[in-house]
Amino acid sequence: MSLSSRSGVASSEALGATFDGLLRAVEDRSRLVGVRRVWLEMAGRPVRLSIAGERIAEIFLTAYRHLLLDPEDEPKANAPAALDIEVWDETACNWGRPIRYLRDCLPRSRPFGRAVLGQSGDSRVLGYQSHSLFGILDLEKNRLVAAVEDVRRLSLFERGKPLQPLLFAWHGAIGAMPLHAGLVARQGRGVLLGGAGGSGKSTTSLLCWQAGFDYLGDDYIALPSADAGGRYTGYSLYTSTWLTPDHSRRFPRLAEKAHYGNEAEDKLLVLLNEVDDTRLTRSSPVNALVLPRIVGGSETTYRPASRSEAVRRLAPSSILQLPFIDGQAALNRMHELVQAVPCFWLDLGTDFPGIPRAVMSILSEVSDG
Amino acid sequence: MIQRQDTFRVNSKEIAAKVIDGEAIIINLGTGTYYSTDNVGALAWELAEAGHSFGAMVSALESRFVVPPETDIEVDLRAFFRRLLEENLIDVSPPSESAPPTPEVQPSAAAYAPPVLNAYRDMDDMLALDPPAPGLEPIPWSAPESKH
Repeated sequence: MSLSSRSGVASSEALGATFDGLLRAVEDRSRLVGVRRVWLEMAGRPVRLSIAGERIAEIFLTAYRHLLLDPEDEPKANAPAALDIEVWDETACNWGRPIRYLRDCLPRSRPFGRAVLGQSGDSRVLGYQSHSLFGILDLEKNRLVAAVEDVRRLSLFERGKPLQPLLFAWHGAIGAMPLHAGLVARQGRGVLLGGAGGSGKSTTSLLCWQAGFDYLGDDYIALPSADAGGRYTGYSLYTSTWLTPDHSRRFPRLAEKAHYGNEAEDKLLVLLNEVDDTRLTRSSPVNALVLPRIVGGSETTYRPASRSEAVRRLAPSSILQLPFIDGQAALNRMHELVQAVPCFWLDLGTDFPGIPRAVMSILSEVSDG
Repeated sequence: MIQRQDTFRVNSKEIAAKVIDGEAIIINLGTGTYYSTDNVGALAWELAEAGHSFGAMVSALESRFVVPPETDIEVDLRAFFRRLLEENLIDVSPPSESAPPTPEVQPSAAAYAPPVLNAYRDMDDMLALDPPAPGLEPIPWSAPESKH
């Protein structure tokens, strides 16, 4: 079957046939070796993950370890899943995918860093292709199929956040909006840490982790709409963090667990769920939105932030950094959030133990109020 | 040249925008630039979104603020909307008979200041998440026959 569209614009019928063909091919289990099937919980919903290939299974299951359901909580094998993810290692299975390039099945393709994104004309089917990974997500069928061409060529980004662009798209589609923010919690109360790269979000998240907070992420979380009582819950997506040389000195326990990439990847990858004693949790209430910023001085202080300041700080990187996200819907969600929870500036000082103490003070103030 | 009867259409395919507590936050999804404008600018943005003509907006703002004698709101507003147009945040719509009449706005004690569109371009390069990988050939992404 030729998968290319000579005009470069695949009809939705041809596209459907292509995607269904890919799914049928994956369903032919005889091709796949060492299939492992597990259940995850993403944004509070059951997700079935099937992986063929020992090495790729190890990488994905490490990255998703904190989302794995305990066997006693798993749905039955044939139970409906909110999302079915099927991944195979082309080398281990000795079976190449039937579609070479995204452009062959998704007409609206564009570069995304060194990778490529694609989507169908009706935005029902989305794709991501890097030098080592090819994935397609069907938002109507709630199926994500991905082939790993060469496990050794997976970038640190793909090891730390497998399938991120497509999974974020799925979260956005089900209303669990991905936000560029960290989330830490103490005694069941959570603080969302918002801000662009370099604001001190990761440092604050990791210092809180070190001080005994639950860790749900230092850069991205999913935020569904409020419950009937107007309360917000944030969901963990990945526990990966990137260590700069400065972080490595400050967090030696993390540096011990660092994964190294190629020479161009100057940061090291650490998966917090590989670090002993990490208090991981899949979700937490959001009781405050905190906006870290580096201001100099030794003492860390905090003061209320206006709602517009909070959205201006949180929204641009959340919306601009993520493909396939409905920008207006994301902006609306952030507006709703800042109306429901108090917002604070966190002026970070150089006395690092004071940073988690300040976050704890905010939580106490919020709960006392 | 912006005419008094002109109305504007927010370029909603390319932007996300929200007015929050008197500050408009506008994000251009195509370029990665984001903007803010408060007070007079935010009110003008809201009026434009609601479909009011340029002339109606001028009248509304003149009735809302105590304007110093040497100030010409129309001149200020024209400059502000030129910026919005230059940044591709809005388009001029043809004059419409269905444009709402001059809106009633409550007089404000706030001092009038010409509207300013603050542009932030620090996110322009944030679209690439994957670290660089030297030595790898670009992945073909356009249709084989199309030229770029």
